[in-house]
Formats: sequence, C-alpha cells, structure tokens
Amino acid sequence: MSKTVKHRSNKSRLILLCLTLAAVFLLSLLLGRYPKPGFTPISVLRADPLALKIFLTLRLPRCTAAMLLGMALGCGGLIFQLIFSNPLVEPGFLGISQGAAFGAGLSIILGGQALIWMQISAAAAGLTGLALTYILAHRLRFGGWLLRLILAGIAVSALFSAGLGLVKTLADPLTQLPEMTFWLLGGLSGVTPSHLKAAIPGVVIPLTILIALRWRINILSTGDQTAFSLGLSPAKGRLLILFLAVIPVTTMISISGIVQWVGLIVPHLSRKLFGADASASLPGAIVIGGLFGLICDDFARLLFSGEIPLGILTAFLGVILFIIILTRPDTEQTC
Amino acid sequence: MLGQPAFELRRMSFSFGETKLFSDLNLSLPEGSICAILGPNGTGKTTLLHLLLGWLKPDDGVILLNGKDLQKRSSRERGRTISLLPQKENLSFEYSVAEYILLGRAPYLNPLQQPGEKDRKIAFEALATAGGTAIADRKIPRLSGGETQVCLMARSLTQEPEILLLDEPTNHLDLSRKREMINLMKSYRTAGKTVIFTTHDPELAARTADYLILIGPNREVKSGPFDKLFTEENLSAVYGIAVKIVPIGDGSVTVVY
Repeated sequence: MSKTVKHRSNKSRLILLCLTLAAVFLLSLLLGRYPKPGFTPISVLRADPLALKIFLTLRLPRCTAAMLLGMALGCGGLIFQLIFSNPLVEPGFLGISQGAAFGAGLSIILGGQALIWMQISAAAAGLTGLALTYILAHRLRFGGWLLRLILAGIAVSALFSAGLGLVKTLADPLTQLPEMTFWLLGGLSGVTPSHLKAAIPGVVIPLTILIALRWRINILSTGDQTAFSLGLSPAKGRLLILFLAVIPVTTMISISGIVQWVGLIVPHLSRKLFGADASASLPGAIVIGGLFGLICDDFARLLFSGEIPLGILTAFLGVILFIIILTRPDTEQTC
Repeated sequence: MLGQPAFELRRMSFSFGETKLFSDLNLSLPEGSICAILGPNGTGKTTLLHLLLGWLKPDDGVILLNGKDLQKRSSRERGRTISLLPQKENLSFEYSVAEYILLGRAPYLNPLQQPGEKDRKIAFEALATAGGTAIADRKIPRLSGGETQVCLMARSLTQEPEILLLDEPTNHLDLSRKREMINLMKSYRTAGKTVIFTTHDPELAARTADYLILIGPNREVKSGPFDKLFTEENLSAVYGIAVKIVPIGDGSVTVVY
C-alpha cells in the first residue's frame, strides 16, 4: 500500500537528516578562529590546552545553543502554523519573540540577573504577547483570518518593541545598558555553559512532550468543531500545545535575542520534505531547524573576523528561501 | 418497530444571543433508524445537529444519549459514539486523504499513541465504503466538492460510530455518488446504527428516512414516524408554499412545488 511506502521513506529521510545534523554539529565544533581560522584538527585539541578549553567552554555550548535555538523556532513555527491554520506565521509574527525580548530586558533592569528569572520573565511576556495577538486578531474588523492574525502580531510586536525601548532608557547606562545592548544585537557569542544549563530543560522537555504528542497535534489543525467531533477538548488541547511550543522559543530568545524567519521557513521546508502530517513534519521541522540554526551560526562566527549578528543571517537566508518556496507553483495555496 | 431512543431531548432550550432557536423542546430519536431533519433555511437544522453532537450546550433542559446526559460523557466516549459529517471544513495544509481520514481514530488512541496498522486498515476500509479508494493519495485542498464530501464521510466512518450525524450529506454529490450515499445510510441502519441527517431535499428524506423532524418557519418542531409526518399539508406549512407529493414507485416520491 502506498501509505506504508511513504511511511517508510519518511522514516529513512528523517534518519538521514538526523545523521546530517550530527555530522554538521561535529564539524561546527571543529570550526573556529583559534588557533587559526578554519578547521581545528583533533590533534590540536589534544596538544593545545587553550584550544581544548575554548572547544569545551565556548564552542560546545555555542553550537549546542545554535542547534537548540533552531529546533525551538522550527518546532514553534510548525505548531503555530498548524494550530492557527495559517502557513504564514512564526514566533516573530505573533508577538512572542518581541514579548520574550521585552520580558528578558525587564528582568535585567529589575535586577533579576539570575538566568532563571530572565527565562521566566521572557516566557511570561512571550505567552502574554501570543495571547494579546490572538485576542486582537479575533476582534480586528479588517481582512480574513490569515491577515488579521498577522496584523495583530505586528501591532503587539510593535507594542513590546516600544516597551523594550522604554526599558532601555530606564536601564543603568553604566552597568545594565551595555549588557542589554549586547544581548539585543542578537546572536550567540555570549553563550556560556551556565546559560545552556539553565536553558536545556526549558527546551528539551517541551520538545520531547510535543514529539510524543505529534499525531494529536494534527487534529487541532482541523478546527475546533471537528476536533470536538473527534473526541477532543480542543480548547484545553490547544492551550497545552501552545504553551509547550512557546516555552522553548522564549527560553532561547532570552539567550539569543530576537532571531526571525527561522520559524517561518523551516516548517515549509519540512512540509515539502515530509508532507503535512505532523507525525513526520514535526520531527522534521525540529531537525531541519537545528541544522538551519547551526549553519547560520557557523557563518555568523566564521565568515568575517568580526561576528555577524545571527539575526541578520537568518533573515537573509530565511527570506531567500521564503521567496523561493512560497512562489513555487506547487506550493499549497490558501486564500 | 422503532427501537429505544438514541437521543432524548427533555425540555431543551437553546438560543444564539438574542435569538431563541428552541424552547422547551421534547424529542426522542429512535435507535437504529434513519432520521431526517427538514426545514427552511436558517431555522436551526445544523444547530440541532450540533446540539446532538454536544458541541453546543443547551441553555436549559437536557439531551440524553442512550439514557445518560450527553454533556456528562467523557470526550473520548463521545468521539467513539457519535461522528459528524460537517457541511464544510477549512484546511490550510496539504494532508493526503489517507492521512486525514486516519484522524478519525483519535477517540480510540491515547494522546501519546500513534495510529498503527490496525487503525490504517480500518481507515482504508472506511474510505472504500465511502467510495473513495481512488483518492487515497490525493491532497485535501485539491479535491473537488464531491470528493471532499467522500473524504469527510470516510473520516466519519473511521470513527466507527454508533450514531452518524450528517449535515447535508448529499451536497456536491453527483447522481451516482448520491445513490452510494443513500445505500450507505441504509446499510448503517441495517447494521443497527442510527443515522440523523439534515437536508433541503424532501425526496432524499423520502427515500431513506423512517423518522422525521420538521422545523417550521417559526421554529415549531414536529417529530414522529416518517410516514405519518411526511404529508403535503405539513410540507406546505413548513416551507410556506403549496407542495405536492407524487409517489413514483419503489417508495420514491417527487415533490412538486
């Protein structure tokens, strides 16, 4: 039966992608600027204690963070698109990213320097951003659902950006402002092992639960009434899934600053490869997101001697892919 | 010869905002029958179906499903007992028909479970029963109206329900598919299941139903065995125009208006 064949080919595709991700991860660890730009052979790591230290305390956490960031955004993007029946949304278009940035910034000036407070504050503000966007989208008087959701997201994002601007003017220019500005540039150059230690549970646990629930998530994309007729409680289910999808995104954004477009384009790539069924496209989006994050961050660190902000690279690559994929005639068309 | 009630409505009232749709409605829909809901546009046929599904809650009174309050059933139990064929459904993503109808297995799987071979088999059989084997690999957004209807019907059947709620089941269907739908409804009755459907087509009702709910222009509801209620007088009153029923043999009728 063709169904089973597709099932199998999806599985082998996913395994292949996972292997690619592992290979790119290992390769990324060996790429850097010390002792000389480019590839660091393992023999150097053995001989040079500084190289080993950089490898363990800088590159390893950074590459892991890049991968987790991509995974969180890819997964979040796919889930938001499914649940809102809108293939044009991503965390940055729903008020989540700007909300998270505002929350993290607020925690810096309120003195909650502890990473965990920054994460909680980012998560709370990100969830608030999403809720505001959703409520506003339902009340807007113009346009269809796809448009209203995006318009509402733009408005809420702008609100939080303004809030973040206010937070910056309130920040202590000697101690807090430099820290905040550095972080807001976007990027992972400041990632330390302790950042990562704080972030891993907030990313890995929700992603694992979402992967376990992946088939069910399909049902929420059919609309509330259908989901109800299939024996679900759509309101509860949707809240749970959205919560689980938002937390990894805000957790990583509290480390990286705002990184856009990944969450929009990765789900499209995944659906192209794996089909719409979230059983395959959700794990696909997570792995492709990880790859995307790693590769963009590799370019950010290695392309020039100075660091390029990660957000610029993801936007660049993301928009190019966006144009290629979304204008192709075989792409799903929605009104 | 009609069986126990599958649904029983006791003094049920329901309104949408200011508009009172039903008040103090008493109804009893026999198990193992085909029940047609007829009435003019906007009188609440679909709303009644959604009340029976449990999706809408009565403001007052109760709806009993096999003797127990529908609203007190677990969502999973409800999903295994009742399925709905909606009038339309919006999907933004390119699910294949096979993937999509498999969603009908949801009430039988726990949240962490993936559908297995057995579920696939049930879904595939349902698709065959609904007459859609040929469209198994097609993408949902690219189906025609009639094919979408077949796909939605297949998903309903995949739920293996005791009670099928069908909202305008023959919409978009060509003559041959329409006949298949009629046969399907009858075969479900033969298997002891209950079929409840809304329609604008009294002829379809006459060919299939043995129980009838008539909703009049002022939302007065009449219900009873089909043959008793399906009269020129009642239809004329419901639609507000003179209606003639002309038997054409085989239990079929033509409705002249």
